[in-house]
Amino acid sequence: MSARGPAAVTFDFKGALDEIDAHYQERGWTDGLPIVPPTEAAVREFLKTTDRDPREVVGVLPPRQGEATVERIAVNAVMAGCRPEYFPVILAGIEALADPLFNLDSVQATTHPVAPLLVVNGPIARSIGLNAGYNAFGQGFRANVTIGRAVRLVLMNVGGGLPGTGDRATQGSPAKIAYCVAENEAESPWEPLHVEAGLARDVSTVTAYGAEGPHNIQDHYSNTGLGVLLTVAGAMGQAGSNNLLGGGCPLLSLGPEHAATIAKDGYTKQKVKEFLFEHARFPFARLGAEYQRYQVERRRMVDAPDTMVPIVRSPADIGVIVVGGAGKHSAWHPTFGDGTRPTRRIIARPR
Amino acid sequence: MLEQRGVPTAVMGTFEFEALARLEAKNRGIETLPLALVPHPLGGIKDDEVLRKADLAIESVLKAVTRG
Repeated sequence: MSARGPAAVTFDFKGALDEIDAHYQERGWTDGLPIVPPTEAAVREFLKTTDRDPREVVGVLPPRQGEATVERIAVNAVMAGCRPEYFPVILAGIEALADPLFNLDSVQATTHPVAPLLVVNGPIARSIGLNAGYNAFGQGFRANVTIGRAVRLVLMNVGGGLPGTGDRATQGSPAKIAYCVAENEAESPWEPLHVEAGLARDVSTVTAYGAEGPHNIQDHYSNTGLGVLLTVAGAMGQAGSNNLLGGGCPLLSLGPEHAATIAKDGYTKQKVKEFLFEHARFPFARLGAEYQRYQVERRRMVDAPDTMVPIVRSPADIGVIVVGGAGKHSAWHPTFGDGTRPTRRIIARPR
Repeated sequence: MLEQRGVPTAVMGTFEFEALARLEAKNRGIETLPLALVPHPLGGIKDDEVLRKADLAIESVLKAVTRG
């Protein structure tokens, strides 16, 4: 995108912090939490981290078709409580979400509880303090929480993804508040996500998934790669996900201990994907009659007692990363199914 | 998108999502996009109900695709 969009609207406001916050709350310019006032001085600090024109349109965001300019994104990043050095991650993240392959139109408006998960790889993760270890999908780290929140505020305030109007999620999900993580590259036995895609290790990237919140996979008992993988496959091959309905690109976040057990037995990432393609399936015979009919008519499944329905069309459609601290837990992230694809952008080095 | 390429189009949906459909059409500059709407829901209904809702929508679909 190189078009220039409108300048961000500015206004004078005199009042205490609680009055400023009330002003934003009353106008629906927040996700419900209090905001940090986006003063011109604060926004300027963010704009200093990039060479990009403040009026450059980074993406046009549905359903409002709002122009997400560099400046408007900075305003929302300030409001979210970000630090200026996080800004290049957010810019790259919004670009990834605006990629047509991500299908933000549907992701914003759908009844499904899909959230934009940003997976950050490369050296910037460590330099800005993104958590990839204990509780990486949870609370406690400013970079994770506020980058995720900044993305949500942009999707609401620029894109118009407002609950009940532009965002029709039936129940929604806590993941829709903030969902940003770094891969634990240091403890991964395999190449990290961006290196797998052909990029150098010292390049930083953000990869966006249209995903549900993490679904835990606990296995304290298996001491072989095969054992852990069978548990993982059992968890992923579940009824009710959009992936079982129609494929797509689900993500598996292996805890470092599970990843080590699997890798020790000779599984490469590719072999993990091949195993899961074959085994993360749900028995056709256990689906309801209408669901079976859908699978036969739309996915050409064979109506037979031994048919197993896959969650993806090919092994390459399964994403695998390593996230977390010690312990025997992993997670998989069902996605919005075939309604979205993961998209990736290189994060510019901070100026 | 098809409408913008000159293909007469009818978007089918339920009244529950009418406001969203009109909002999206307006924001894409196709405010007059014809909608063929039926009572909510479309998912999880039996075949006879599908046919009943198709009957309800058929007039507006025909009207939309035979415009101009």
